[in-house]
This record gives sequence, C-alpha cells and structure tokens, in this order.
Amino acid sequence: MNSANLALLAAVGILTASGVYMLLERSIIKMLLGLLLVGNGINLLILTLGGPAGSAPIVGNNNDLHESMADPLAQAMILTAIVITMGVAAFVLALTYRSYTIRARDEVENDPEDTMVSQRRTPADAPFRDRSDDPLTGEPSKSGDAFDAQGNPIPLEALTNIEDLEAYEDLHDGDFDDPTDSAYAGQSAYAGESTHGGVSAHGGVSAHGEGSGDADPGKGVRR
Amino acid sequence: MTLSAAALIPLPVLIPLLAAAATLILGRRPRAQRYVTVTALTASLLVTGLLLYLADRDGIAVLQIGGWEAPMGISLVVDRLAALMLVVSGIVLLAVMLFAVGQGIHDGNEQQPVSIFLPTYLALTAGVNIAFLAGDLFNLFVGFEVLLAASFVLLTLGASADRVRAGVSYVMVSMVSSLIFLVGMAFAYAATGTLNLAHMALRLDDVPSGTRAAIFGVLLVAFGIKAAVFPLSAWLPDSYPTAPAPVTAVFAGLLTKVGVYAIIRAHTLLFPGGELDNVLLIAGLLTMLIGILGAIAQNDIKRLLSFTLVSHIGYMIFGVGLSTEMGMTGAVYYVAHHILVQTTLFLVVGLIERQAGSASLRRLGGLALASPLLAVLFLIPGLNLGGIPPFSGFIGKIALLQAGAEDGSALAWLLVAGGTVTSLLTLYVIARVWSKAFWRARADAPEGDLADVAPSALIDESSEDIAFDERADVGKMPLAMLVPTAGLVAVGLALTVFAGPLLDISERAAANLMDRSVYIEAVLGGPR
Repeated sequence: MNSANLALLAAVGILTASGVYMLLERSIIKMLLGLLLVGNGINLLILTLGGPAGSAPIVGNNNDLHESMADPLAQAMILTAIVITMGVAAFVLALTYRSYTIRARDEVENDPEDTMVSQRRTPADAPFRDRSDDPLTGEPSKSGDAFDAQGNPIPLEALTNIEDLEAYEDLHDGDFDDPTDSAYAGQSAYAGESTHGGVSAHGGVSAHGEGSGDADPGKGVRR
Repeated sequence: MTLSAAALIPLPVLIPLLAAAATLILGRRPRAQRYVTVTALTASLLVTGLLLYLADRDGIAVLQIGGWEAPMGISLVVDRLAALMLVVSGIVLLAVMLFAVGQGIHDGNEQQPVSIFLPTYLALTAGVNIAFLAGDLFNLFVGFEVLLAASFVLLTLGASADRVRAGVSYVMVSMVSSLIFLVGMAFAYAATGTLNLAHMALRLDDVPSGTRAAIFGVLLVAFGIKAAVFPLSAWLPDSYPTAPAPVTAVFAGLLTKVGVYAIIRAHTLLFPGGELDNVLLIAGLLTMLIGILGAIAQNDIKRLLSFTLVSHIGYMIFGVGLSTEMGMTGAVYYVAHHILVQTTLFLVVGLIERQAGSASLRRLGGLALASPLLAVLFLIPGLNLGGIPPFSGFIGKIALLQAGAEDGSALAWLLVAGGTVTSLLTLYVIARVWSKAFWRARADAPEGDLADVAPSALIDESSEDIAFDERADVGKMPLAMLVPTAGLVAVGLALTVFAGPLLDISERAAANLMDRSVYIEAVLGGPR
C-alpha cells in the first residue's frame, strides 16, 4: 500500500475549505467560484487515490521511480467531472447575466413567499381565513355563509335560510355571546345592523398589505 | 422464449436521447417536434413495460456494454425495482408531456432561436432512465448529472426574475450534492478499487466497519439532498413552485424519487449491515413531521404541495430504515404510489391556475360550483395522498405501519405514531384546500377580487395583479390538459384496483433487494 501524499491532501483541504466559504456568499459569481474551487479540490482528491505521482496511466509503463502504472480510471473520472463542472459553470454564468439584466446586481434574494409567511402577525393573515372573518381574532363570523350561488353577498336580513345561520350560531354559542370579549361585543352589534356581508373583514385585508384593502367588497363577485 | 430482456435494456435511454436530437433538428417545426416526442415517450413506455414483465418473469437482466465483462466494463442492470420505477416514471413523463403540450407551452418569442422545452424534457427522461438502470456508481453519477442539467434548464425556462432567483439556489444546492456524491464515490473507490456496484458490494465486506459507515454516511448526505430528506430539504419548497405547472409536476414526481431509489440501492446492495438505520429512521420521522407542519402554514397550493412532498419522502425513508423485507415492500409500493399521486396533484394545480387565475388560498373560492369536474379531479388524488381507504395511499401507509409494528422496537413504534399523525395532518391540509378553494364563495376569499395577470405559462413577464373580472385567457381548461390529468387520476385509481399484483411485485422486488447475492451473481456471472 502506498503512503498518501500529504501536500496534495493539504491542497485538497485548502481548496475545499475556501470553496465552501465562497459558496456561503450571496453573490452568484462568488458562489460559482466557490463551486469551481470545491470541484477542483475533489478532483485533486480523486487524483491522489489513483496512486503516487509521476507515473503515467499506460500499460507496460516502467520507469525508475515506480514499478506500476497509475490508475487510469481515476483520471477518467476527473475528466468527466471537469466537463460536467464546466457545463454547469457556463449555465450559471448565463443565469448571472440574466439576473444582472433583470435586477442590476448578481445577488440571490430571499424567497418572497417565505418572507410573507414569516411576517404574519395576526391570525387574520393565516391561510385558512375568509374575508368575513373577524379582522382581529380571525374567528369565523356568520356573515361568511351569506353568499348566494353566484358568490354575491346577501344582506343578513334578506337571508331565506336563516335557520341554517341560527344553527351555525348555536354551534359557536359560547364564543359569540361572550360579553367579556370585546372583539365579539363589536361583532354581534355589527351582525345586527350590517346590510353588507364582508365589511368587517376590511381591517384584516389591508393589514395584509397588498393594496387590496381598499377594494370594494362586492368587487370579487363572480359574474 | 427467444425474446431476451438484455437486448431491450439500452432502449429506455437511447430512444429519448435520439428523440432529443431529432427534436432539436426540428426546432422550427413545433408540430413535428410534438409527434416525435409523443412517439418516443410512448415507445419508451412500452419497452419499459415489457422489461417489467420480463424482469418479473425471468429475474434480473444485465447488459454488459461493449461486451466488456462486469468488473471492467459498464453494466446496465434491470431488476424488478428498476423496472417498476421505469414503468411508473414512463407513465408520468408521458402524461405530463401531453399536459404541457395541451397547455400550449411554448418558448415564447423570436429571441429564442430553437424551441428547447421538448428536447430538454427528453434529455431529462434519458437521465432519469440512466439513473434507474445504472449498474455502477459512476454511471449513476452521470445519470444524476444528465437529469440535473436538464432540470436546470426546465426550472429556469423563460428566465423571469422569480425563476432566476429560484434557479440559482437550485443549481447551487444540486451541484453541492453532486460534489458530495463525487467525494463519496472517491472514498468508495479508494476503499474497494472498483466502481461496479456488485463488485463493490463484495469487496466492501472486507472494509472495516467504521470506514464503511463513513462512506455510507457521505453517500447518504448526497442522496439525501436529492431526495429532500429533512435537514437537507429546505431547497425544495423554495425552488419547485416557481416553475411552470407541468415542470413542477414532473420534478415533484420523479427527481426526489431518483434520490430515494439511490438510497434504496446503496442501503440494500452496498451497505446491508444496517449501520445507519437509526439515523435513517430519525431522519424519516423528522422529515414527515416538519414537512407537514410547513405545509400547514402555506397560502400557495403549489408550495403547500411541495411541503407535503417533502413530508411523504419521510415514509419511504421509514420503510428503508427498517431494513426488513416488509419495510422495503412498503417503501417500494409507496414510491410508485407517490410518484403518481404527487404528479397528479401538481397537474390539477395547473388546471386550477388555468381556471381561477391563481393558486393562492387567499384568492381561490367557489371552484366546486365553477367546475365540478375539476373538483372531482382534485378530490380523488387529494384523498389518496391523505391515505383514505380504498386508495393506494392507504395501502402504502398500512404496509409501512405494519412493517413498523412488526419490527417492534421503540423507535419503530415512534415512527408508526409519527406516520399516523402525518397522515392525519395531510388530510387536514387537503381538507383545508378543499373547503377554501372549492367550497367557499370566491367573494369570501380575503383577496378574491384579485387574479394573476395570466396563467403561468413559460414566459412569466409580469407578476402584477389584475382584478378577477378582467383576467384574460383564464376560466377555460383545454381538453388536452384535462385528459392527461384525468388519465393520471385513473392510473392512481388503478393502483387501488390492482393493488394485489402490484404489492406482489413490490414484495418480490423487496425480496430481491434483501438478498443481494442474486444481484451480485447476475452481474458478475456466478459467485467469486
């Protein structure tokens, strides 16, 4: 068994470490350089596995230094890896250029959806909320059921299936009639006088902040 | 019979590659391109179907490329697992391609000289098939690279701002995983002096167990990134949802499963001692739970489904980590089931975007009324994913849970509990999509008055919003998109109807995997 070449292994370590450091950057070019460094480090690692330096991978090759030939398979693997890395590097450069033309810089940004999820502050922003839900607590209100088959809001007084709504209210009896809960005190007052389902949700919508808060509640109606 | 399976083995790679070349030549004739692609994928599917039949009847078939015998030359190997994966992926690839063509997917404008979607898609097909057929570690690496390079192009089609952002992180993560794979391969080569999987399996027996575990660990990290196993899964929900719907569908169905396939192969053939089983089991548990908890928080259905995808990878890792024949049976069946159901769901989301102008739960509503057909198409694979009995998701999960209970260790019971909780939470997530997007009136959606400018096709020039009423080219679903989706839903149902034969094949595949001497003898031609 041949002993390993310490200098080469140290070079592998340094290349890989620098490459990993560069990969952690946000700039696409730096990441690409890091990728290339790591790739070269690993190619060097494979080379050290192919036997001691100085011998050619040719059958019958004998010289004064080595009695055996070098391993050709290791070199073939490196060749393949180099070609693949080169192709990907070209692709990443194209992406960098595209990113530069779109944003005038070559940095990777955070995922906007992730940011939106992490910045939710009120229950009303949760994905399962309806427009008719209470804007503060996010609790469902009975006006949520007050839509006709076309999706148009029906004034609560004009509802024909009021029995269903009463049953719905019974289900949430404890919640809706709790006088100590200030949010519901307003809610029940609203339910009595409102003529327009969905008005109460306005606060919740504008809190989300996509400029949709000032939309007319009837605008989402399907025609 | 004179028909030999070995002669068919190269076809699933050759046909797509040649077709890719042909479609490049036909770049200016989209119609001819489509005919070539449909023909190639259908032919490839037929060949793999035949391969599955032959592999199930005659056992493992091996092709030594160029006539060089096994440890020297490159071997392509078809066993039951590989053949099953080939068939399922062939079905999915064909259906998604038809969907994409039906969507009127196009590369846009005059600035792009050649139409690259279909050639790249065929290259992806070839890469996936190489990875399933590879009989040596380096060929597996090449297969991964081919499919990754194709996936880079598909993910960034049109190169809008979002896709470039997602594409850069996807390319970087994938390349890092490839480099780690290369390191693992270098270590394995240093320890054994061979790359042929069967040969390596024999020689690894003489390697000290610590070294063996280290090599396995490095390979597991590489495959784990590709398969999106929990601590290495954060890249997936970040990058997949930005791609066009059919691309996301095929990525979600296939690419992660290729990683799972590599884990199964390495675990059963190279490292059968079960040194890292506990690591796999814990990773599987965390993948299941954290993935599904992530899904609960999402507005966007595509992202939500990406998280369920991560979550359900955990089930397969669970089956693999048990190291029993029953566990492996469950894992194999679950892989087949999950490729189909996850792809179907992403295609349905493509239809939802088409119909409603958005895929966000803050905007959707009233779909059950607007399009009952779409509701049915969503509900069936949705319940399937959630594991409701008679569907295949239930069968796969029950097989895995049984295997866990049979194993009986405390960790296995923990995973059984975790798997049940994950299944229920999946059902919760699906039920929420159902009740919000399909049952609620659109006017009751918090942003129901807004819609995306256009259904996300390849070119996504603007991310502005318009009023729901003013959207263009939305609201009607082309028949050419509906039919492939409905076809995949039907195939998903067929997994229930033919669950018996399929579980039998999975069981025989698992038996093959657990007794690796069969594989080694088939490749190397007798024990050495």
